[in-house]
Amino acid sequence: MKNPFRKSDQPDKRWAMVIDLTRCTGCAGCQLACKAENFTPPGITWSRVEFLEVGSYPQSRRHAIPVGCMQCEGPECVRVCPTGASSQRKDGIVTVDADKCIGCKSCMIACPYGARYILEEKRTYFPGYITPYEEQGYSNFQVGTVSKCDFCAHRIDEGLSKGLVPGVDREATPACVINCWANARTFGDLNDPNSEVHKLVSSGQVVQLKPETGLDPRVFYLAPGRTAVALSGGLPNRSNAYTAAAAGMPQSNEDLADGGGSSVAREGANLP
Amino acid sequence: MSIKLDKSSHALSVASKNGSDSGKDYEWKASACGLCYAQCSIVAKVKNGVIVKIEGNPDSPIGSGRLCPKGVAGIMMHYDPNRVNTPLMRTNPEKGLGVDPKWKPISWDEAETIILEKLRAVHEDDPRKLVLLRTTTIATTREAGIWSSAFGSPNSWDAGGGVHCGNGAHLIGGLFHASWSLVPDFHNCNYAIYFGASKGHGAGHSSNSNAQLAADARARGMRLVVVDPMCNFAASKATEWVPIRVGTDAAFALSMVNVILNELGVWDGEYLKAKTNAGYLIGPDSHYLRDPATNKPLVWDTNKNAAVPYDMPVNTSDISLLGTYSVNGIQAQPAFNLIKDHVRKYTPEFAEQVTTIPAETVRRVATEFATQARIGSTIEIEGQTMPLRPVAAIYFRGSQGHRNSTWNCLAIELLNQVVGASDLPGGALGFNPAMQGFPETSVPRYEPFTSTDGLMETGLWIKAHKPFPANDPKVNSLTMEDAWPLTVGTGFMAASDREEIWNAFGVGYRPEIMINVGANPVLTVGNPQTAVEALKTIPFMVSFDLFISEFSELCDIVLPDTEYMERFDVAPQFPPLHDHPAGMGEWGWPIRQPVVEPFGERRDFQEVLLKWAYELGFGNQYHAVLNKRYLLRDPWLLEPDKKYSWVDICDRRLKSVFGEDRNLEWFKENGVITWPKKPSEVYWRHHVTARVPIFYEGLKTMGEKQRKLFEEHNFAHRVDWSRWEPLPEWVECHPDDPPEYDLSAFYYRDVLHTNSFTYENPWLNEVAEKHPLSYTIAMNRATAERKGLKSGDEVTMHSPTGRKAVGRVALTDTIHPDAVGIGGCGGHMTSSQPIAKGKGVRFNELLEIDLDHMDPVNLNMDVCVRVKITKN
Repeated sequence: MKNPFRKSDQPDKRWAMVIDLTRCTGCAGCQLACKAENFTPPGITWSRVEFLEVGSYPQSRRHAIPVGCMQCEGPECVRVCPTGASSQRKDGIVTVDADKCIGCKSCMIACPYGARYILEEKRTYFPGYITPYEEQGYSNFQVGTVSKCDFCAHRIDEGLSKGLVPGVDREATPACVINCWANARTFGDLNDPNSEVHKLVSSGQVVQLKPETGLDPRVFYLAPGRTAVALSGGLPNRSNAYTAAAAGMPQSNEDLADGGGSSVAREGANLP
Repeated sequence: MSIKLDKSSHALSVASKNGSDSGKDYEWKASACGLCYAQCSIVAKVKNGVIVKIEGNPDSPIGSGRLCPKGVAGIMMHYDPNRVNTPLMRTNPEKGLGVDPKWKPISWDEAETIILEKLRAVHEDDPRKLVLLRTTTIATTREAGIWSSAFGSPNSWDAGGGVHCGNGAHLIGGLFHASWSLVPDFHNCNYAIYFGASKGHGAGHSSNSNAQLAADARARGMRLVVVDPMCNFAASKATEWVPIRVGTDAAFALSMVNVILNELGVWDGEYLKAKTNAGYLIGPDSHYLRDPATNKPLVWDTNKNAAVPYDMPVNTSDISLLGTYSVNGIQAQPAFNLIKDHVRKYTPEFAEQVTTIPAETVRRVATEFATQARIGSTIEIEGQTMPLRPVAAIYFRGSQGHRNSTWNCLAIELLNQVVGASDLPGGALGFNPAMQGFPETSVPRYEPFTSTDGLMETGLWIKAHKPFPANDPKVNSLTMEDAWPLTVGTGFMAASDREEIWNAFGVGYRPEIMINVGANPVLTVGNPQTAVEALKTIPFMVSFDLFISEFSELCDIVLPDTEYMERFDVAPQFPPLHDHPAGMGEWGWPIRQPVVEPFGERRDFQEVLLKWAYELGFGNQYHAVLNKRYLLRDPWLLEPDKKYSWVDICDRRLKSVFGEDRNLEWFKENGVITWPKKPSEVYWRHHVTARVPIFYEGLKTMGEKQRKLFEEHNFAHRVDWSRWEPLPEWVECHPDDPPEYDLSAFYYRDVLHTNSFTYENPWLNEVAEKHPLSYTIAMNRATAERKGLKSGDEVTMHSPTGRKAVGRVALTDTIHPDAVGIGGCGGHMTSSQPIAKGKGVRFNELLEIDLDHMDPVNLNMDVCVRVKITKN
């Protein structure tokens, strides 16, 4: 990886996450905590868990690998965005402004991590019925625009305004991090040498997914031993991930079957 | 950016209380989850009367602020438009699977008038004709059984996950650890071996707490060896996965015991002599030799060179564990000597043939376990020096879901016992068998104690009858629990042979009314058609439900129940014998409270049942039972001839434990109260003198008593009496199945679902549909390719009895070649749960519900089936 601390001479914070794959049990609690926090409509899973199987019986293991937006230091999605809808904040978080997004999907093609989702139609989890919960947040999503994980920027910003420390104080920390029952996720300011993420990244034990892309993600994985071997297979290119789609299961979303990087939320609740 | 999210802060209930969030348009309310029996503590964020987020409650040790996917997804269950919101009455008299009841909405008044008339008639005639059915999923429904016992019926049936659940694990866990189940002492254990268990890695007891404890333990360096046909939740995180042929756990465990005792010559003599019946002298009839004067079991005192009552030797070290002694002309051996000889036949080479685990692996794992036990070592915890035995052998669903349920668990438990790793630092811990009470009141206070024959009796137990001393068998209830006193719950109410059994035992009455709270035994016991044929014979059935299930569709009246975020339950963790984390840390007593008002005409079943008790005139009996079960104290006792509201009873229960000031209002505000655990609570074994029966003489005795009863009823030929022997054996589950049934299908608990209950939740469904295995049949890649199957193929599993279950196979290298694994109970058949309909694989279709497919001792259903697979 590139030197992750190269911006330490700058005043900006650099939010980063370390996911300890030896702790993760693949329960998908993060995936649903993200959904609950952000009101993502059917088929849109900013945070999700991929599964990868490595080895032949009996020397075989199933690995759970949580993925989402990698908050790349050099985000390709921002570079290709024709309208400036995708941009990078001073603190490194990559965001999407739906008001500027024209739904061209360039960013979805550019993202090698399948982190971006376009809302193709307004749908609810129960066909023909919008729950009071969904009413609280679905209006935030515009048809034909792209969305993705933003490290729960609203929690970070609100927390900072109260003098709280993201990654330390619960209410200033991303929803997936505070929910993880195995405490697999660590969040904080990479530029703060006292932060846990700085210490973990400095330990030299972390890896990035698809380092060959040179995009320099700010989501790192603690993956010693055989877990590192699993990751060397190149997740999360969904064509080789051990997903229901790869297992030949019929999918309501075409996203998992496309073998590429991007996710298309077209149908959600998979009703007969 | 597009997403104008709720920018509100994340303050917790405590912060709101302190006023730091005053002026906000939302609040956080502390309550308890109710989507599986773990009952983890939650906080719900309510904005303008709408639940917008559910998180774990960081103030409570029950989950410590973390939440599994089911808990997070509770919002979607709360707002599901398919919920039952009004009482319904069937208008179609025909009942059957898939038969439309033709529901007609009625008022609560109308419904209660009909129900009370029926109940009154049965109450006056023979109250035993009422059967109270409850789910094990929502732990509060335990209260329903209290109500029916006050009504006068012994027929409380725990259905659903219950009969698949833990009859073996609960029985052996109760006998040895005074607890419903066991976990490694995650803080101190260095080597844990799991047999068909996922503790700390998947769904189950104290899951949110255990996941954190297990992850920390693994990070600390605890080695985890998982013996399981499938590399699933725990095995995926394990140091080592040991794939085993389905249902052969006892062979592996007994071989390990053999290696430890006979090849390595390792055991914890001090522990065995002081804390078990290892030194009790056993006669040729497999019973204790007893002192004629006191009737106490005898031990051989090496100091006196004589047989003396077990409690006579001044130093327990004088008790002999080995040898043969002649006592009054009878040749007797210490129980330990018998065990040591008994396991010799379980050589690692024999175990390899049975389990497919290489003999060298058996020897290596046994050696690691014995070495890591560090027999003789001690540790100081908060000033107390105690033995340190940092190994644990853990068993649950997988190893105990067989016809050999009792012996499988007993065999594995021997591993903990021979090295003394039992409720001591580092070892296998029961879930909170001892509690010294809230410091200000010393309530509740319980601890295992010395009972009959010097053996341990639980201080507190979940069921009315304890594992030891067991009740004498008798015939009374329709569930037949009285005739099989070592069971935790039976499936007979839904069984195909129930009439045969009732007739044989002369049960002179039949169910007239069934009242259900939340269970769905049509899908969660065994073959649905079998269950329906049994249940539809009951003349009048009422169900308190959140959703219309396949069971509700057999009912005459369905009542809309409140879910966990709409009602009070002031002791969701009590008794804390499985859903409160074990080990050192904090005690937590949270409450469940409504975070929103009940929607529609939903009513709390507890309020309704209380009202019915008063209207039917058994309020005094109900008060008496509640006073006892809720540990109510003066002046908060429920008095005769008075009427109380359910909320008032909740208030009295809290005051009885915590005193006047910590009443319901206090708990509503604070959500939970905590206090530190003491080493003498967690590691109670160190000071409690009671012994545990590594030679399960009580099993032999029970077999003799049951045989006598069964012979009186000409039923003795229906069970294999060899299964009541005190020393465990490995027994093949299905020795007579034809060879073309070449695979063992088993079901496991999925982390994404609770039995059949949660399949209707669209968030969980969305995750499960994309999971490689959640909704599929996991099949070994090489086995499948040999059969010409590829991932995604729809297949039918055929059982030897002609049952079928359909699903899609997923090829994987993470399962034994002889096995196919299916997660959860699968989705629903009814159109009333449209998200759940047709999802997953309904494994239970394959299960016969009859005595021949249960462990004859504890009546656990055999949850593995030999199958052949055909491509559709």
